Amino acid sequence: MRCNLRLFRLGFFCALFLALLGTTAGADGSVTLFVDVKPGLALQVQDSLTFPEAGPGQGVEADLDVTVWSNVGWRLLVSARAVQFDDQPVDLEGQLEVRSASGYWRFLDQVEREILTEQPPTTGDGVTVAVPFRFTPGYGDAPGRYAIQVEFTVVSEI
Amino acid sequence: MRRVLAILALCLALPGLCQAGVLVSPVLVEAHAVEAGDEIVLSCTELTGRERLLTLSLGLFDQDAEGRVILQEDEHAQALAADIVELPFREFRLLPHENREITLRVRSADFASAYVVVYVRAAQAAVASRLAVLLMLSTGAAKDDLSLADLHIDGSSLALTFHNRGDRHGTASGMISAYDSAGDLQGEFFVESGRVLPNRQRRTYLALPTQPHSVRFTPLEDLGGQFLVSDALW
Repeated sequence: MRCNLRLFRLGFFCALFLALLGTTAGADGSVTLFVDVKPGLALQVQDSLTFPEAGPGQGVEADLDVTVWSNVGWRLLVSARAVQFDDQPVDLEGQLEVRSASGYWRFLDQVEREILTEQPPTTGDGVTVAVPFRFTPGYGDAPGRYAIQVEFTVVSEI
Repeated sequence: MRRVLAILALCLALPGLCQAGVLVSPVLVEAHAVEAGDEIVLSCTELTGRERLLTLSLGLFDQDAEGRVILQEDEHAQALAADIVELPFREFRLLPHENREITLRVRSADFASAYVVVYVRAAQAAVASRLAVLLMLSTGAAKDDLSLADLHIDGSSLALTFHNRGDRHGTASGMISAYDSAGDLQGEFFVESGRVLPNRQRRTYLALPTQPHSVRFTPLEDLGGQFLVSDALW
């Protein structure tokens, strides 16, 4: 009886070992590894952008670099959030515009404007795009330095 | 009187701050048979060796006829989203190269389908940036119901419009068979609608190597879910 129990235990562990071997390795010793890759996005934006000096009615342009990494299709949007002058919120009479991929200048306010659409997944280096902005001061804008906060949004395609 | 030639320097930034460099994954979550209490885990990773202050906020999204996402951030959308998804916190810090998981909880599943956005924003950034995480949630009883609503031939270009009459998003796919004027088959081409939200339609374009006289669309029901439209000939 004791011998049978030992044989049973031995057989059980042999069977377990063979079963584990069978599930983790093929006959040639190869192992199949499974991994699920999730859709991911990363965005890097230049710290700031300073336009050349400009007088009222005189449009000035400057580009801002944006880098996107993505393993899915994506779009890039931008909006203007707030304007400050001497650390106080103000309304600008001048116009801030952004140029979309289609080549048109579009007025920029709190409504998001599409800069790039239907972009394919990127490589590991990401995709850097220079987004052109244009500002045309108005006569109602007092001389001085204004800070306009813009916000970029990256969203995946569905 | 203001001087006409006044110098106006403009800066697109609040001074002396940093910008984003955070990887967020997944950015698209598709969950069926959602129940209250279910959890969705997002992963945020700092990439550039700087400590980051990030904020989380909610909104909804919709879709236009070209399939593009339309972000909705008004107060009503934010309130609706907050009724569906609970954020664990509104802001958090990421240490350099830190990876952190954020667990969202489904607060209520009192819907057929819901399309929620979670914004991950670099709070202290000068030129602000944010990533939109799309949550496509549907409950157990919800079904998609896609059909081909229109097909337009313009030379070698096809425009297909798919309509989803169901109460959750879905995808339709099928084969386009192209025929010449004699009725001979010129070729067969796979076409997919992309995701179509409920009660929305989406156009898909297909460039063919030939200029067919007529085409036939045959849906692939096994890929299209509830896509039950029979063969259509234009």
